[in-house]
Amino acid sequence: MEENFDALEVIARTRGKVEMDSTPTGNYLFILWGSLTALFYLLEFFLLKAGHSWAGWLWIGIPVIGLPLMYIMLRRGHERDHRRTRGSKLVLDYWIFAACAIGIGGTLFGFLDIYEIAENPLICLLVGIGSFITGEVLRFRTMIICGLAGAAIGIGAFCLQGDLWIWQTLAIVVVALVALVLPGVLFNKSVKSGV
Amino acid sequence: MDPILHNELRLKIMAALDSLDDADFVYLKELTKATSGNLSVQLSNLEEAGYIKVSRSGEGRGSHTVCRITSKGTRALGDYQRALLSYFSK
Repeated sequence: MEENFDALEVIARTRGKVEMDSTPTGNYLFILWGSLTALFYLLEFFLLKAGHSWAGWLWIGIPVIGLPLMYIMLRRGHERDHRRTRGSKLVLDYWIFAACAIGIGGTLFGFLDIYEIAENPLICLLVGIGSFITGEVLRFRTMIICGLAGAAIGIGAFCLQGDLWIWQTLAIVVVALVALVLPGVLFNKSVKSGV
Repeated sequence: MDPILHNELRLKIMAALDSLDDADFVYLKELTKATSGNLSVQLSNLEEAGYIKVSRSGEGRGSHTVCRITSKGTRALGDYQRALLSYFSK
């Protein structure tokens, strides 16, 4: 039985559609976590500058607000979706690892009182790498570039030591905006316009 | 050329399942824009060829059909793509 159709085109188009279909909530999660992170760390920056050292624990508010919101978004997404790609699983696994690393690391660094040395630059690095991996899976170049920029800011933030360490907090705000909110908004736009 | 895969609808199903862990009947119908009858027939053909595994749960309107590509199916799709590429590169 011989059929007349472009088989390679059919395969490529189907795979592209499946990849797009599998990430309806991913872009919103980027905006959610990016906005919360930017907001909380901006607040933390100003409070630390004003001498309130307890503000170093303000980050706990991010998962407290973010996790229930994410749960609602994922539940809604799951009701609408019937599938998950290997790529989207990889992305999810990475972000779970990054979130655990940030949460456990943040708590340990906080109790040991050494968070100003490496915690904040590591957060920037993990977020940047996460956006890079997500961009690679989605084949979304802007997200790849934003992720690389976030990771580069993270590496640069390691230089902010001593009296300058408070500025690491501001680096997280920039990374949250550059590597999470911006690509999230742009990806959202590109999906809606069918690019 | 593999005659099982050289059919547009069957190829769409295989390409989708190759990207996914699994997919249910509703999603495959929505993705391929095929009729339920045609999709059922093509899923059966692919299952008979050993390219996919179909699991059904429940009965009637509440039934749920989930499809998953087998390793034989993954190999067949890879061979099919390679055959096409070598044909076009000649």
